[in-house]
Amino acid sequence: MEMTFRRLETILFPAVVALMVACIYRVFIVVPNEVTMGPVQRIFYFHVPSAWVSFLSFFVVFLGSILYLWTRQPAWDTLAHAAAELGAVFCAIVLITGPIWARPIWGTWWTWEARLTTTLVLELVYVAYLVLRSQAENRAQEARFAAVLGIVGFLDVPIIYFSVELWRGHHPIVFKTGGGEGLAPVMLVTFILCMLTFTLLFILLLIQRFRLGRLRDELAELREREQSPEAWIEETQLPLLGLHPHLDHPGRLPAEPVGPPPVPLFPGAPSQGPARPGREARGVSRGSRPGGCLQSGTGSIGNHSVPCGSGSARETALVRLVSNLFPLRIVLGDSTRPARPGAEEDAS
Amino acid sequence: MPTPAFLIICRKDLRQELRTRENLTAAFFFALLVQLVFSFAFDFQDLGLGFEEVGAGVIWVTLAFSAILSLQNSFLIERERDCLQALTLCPADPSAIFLGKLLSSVLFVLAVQALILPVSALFFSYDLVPAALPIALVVVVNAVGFSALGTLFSAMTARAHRSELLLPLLLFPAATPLVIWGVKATRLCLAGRHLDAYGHLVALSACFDAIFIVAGILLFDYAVEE
Repeated sequence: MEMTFRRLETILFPAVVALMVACIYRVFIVVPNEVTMGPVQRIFYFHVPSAWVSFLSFFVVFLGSILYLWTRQPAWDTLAHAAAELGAVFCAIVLITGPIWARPIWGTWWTWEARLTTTLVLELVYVAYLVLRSQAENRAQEARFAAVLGIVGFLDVPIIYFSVELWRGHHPIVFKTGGGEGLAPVMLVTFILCMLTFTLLFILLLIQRFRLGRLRDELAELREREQSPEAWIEETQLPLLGLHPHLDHPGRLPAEPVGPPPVPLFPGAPSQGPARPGREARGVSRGSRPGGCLQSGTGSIGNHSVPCGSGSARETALVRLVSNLFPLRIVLGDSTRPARPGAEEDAS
Repeated sequence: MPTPAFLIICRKDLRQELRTRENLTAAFFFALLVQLVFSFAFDFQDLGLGFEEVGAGVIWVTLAFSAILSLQNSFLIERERDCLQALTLCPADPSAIFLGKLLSSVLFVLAVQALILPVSALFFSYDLVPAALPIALVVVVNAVGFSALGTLFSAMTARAHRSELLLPLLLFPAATPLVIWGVKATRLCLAGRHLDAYGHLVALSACFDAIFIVAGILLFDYAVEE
């Protein structure tokens, strides 16, 4: 998945750059002045595609929100977040370019008309969405709240448009001026090119922002793992081995042997006695758990015949995982490590 | 037949309110303050503005602002001593919490309006009596939609940091249609027009209510989940 995105990015990036240059060339050099509005009409080659992209990203937010609540995969939430940020940016572009055009043409910077008002409200919904995300207590709550707002907001925006239209009049059809002949072919081609460019730019930025979000999540997870490795293993890794941290009795083994075949944990090292590489070496003994007996586990995962004390299989799995995570410290068996993992990194 | 869960929750909120009266008092005096600001903002006597022209706006801004207070309080009272957790643990569907809270919020909003509308009629010297019933209809229909969105958002913002700041930010953009239709219908009511003139606006608000009550029932689960 990651590779696909990266490849897509390497293709998209030069394409978008080339298209942007082509767009600017066409908009400012090839396309003639519009008959009635003059040069200011050219802003619409940027204004309309931005509006399209801001609405498109709202749809992506909606889709990501629904899929997150359905599957609970954080990736969907990251996608929704990425789209919301882009949507807010493009919406702001629409709100800035619109008045620049409106001032010479309508004679006013702003008018409370359906599309303008809806775009403004859409921007406010985006801002509320991003603020809500920043104020949540934790990652899971942030994702859930954002998803609820993403869905409600998406349902709401068409209603807002409808209500404002009922309240005020219609948006001018900008490209229909000049005798109702519609858009000249050269203008139409440029316009379509701009739409394509903006859409591809949106996709490129979305992928980048999505990957950044994924990396952030990964970083947060790694930090958490470093700060309380035991809890992390209990929560996320033991279930993968078929050992449920909460439901299974500490002494019980899974019905089916799972995991890799028996491998001696520390070749040549005494499994009992003062060495005890697991906890003290890593200094993870913050509040020893009831039933915890690292030293008693001598065997390996999935071996039914290993006679050891309560929780042996589970604790053995713990040691294995810990040793995978922090191999060097375990090999060194340095028991002078500080009590809190990561403390010496902070100091250095 | 046992009382439905949402009625029990609503009754709990009402009982709590009757014992403390903090929600109603605060919302009423806040509404009064908003009216005061309006009397300075639009100098009705000097500018010669009739209440028929701007009255709908005064009524709706007052309603929206005081409703925000009530809605915010609806879940803030549950935050104390982890009541929200206890509430979510009660053996009822989460949608019952939503409906109960919605009902109590609507009742609070309407109670404040029932108190403030006669006061505004006194302040701005307009004749409320002939328009009272139509305005009541418009206010009830719109207060339901406003509270439906507000209850859903309030359940989320009450648990976030700086909740006082968040709810208006979320609720006001989302409730734009209600404000537009509410103001328009109220203006027609104040002008003494018949139901035919603004019936479609009330119907639209009712549709909005239905959409967001259903959305609230479906999504409330995620808003209170631990």
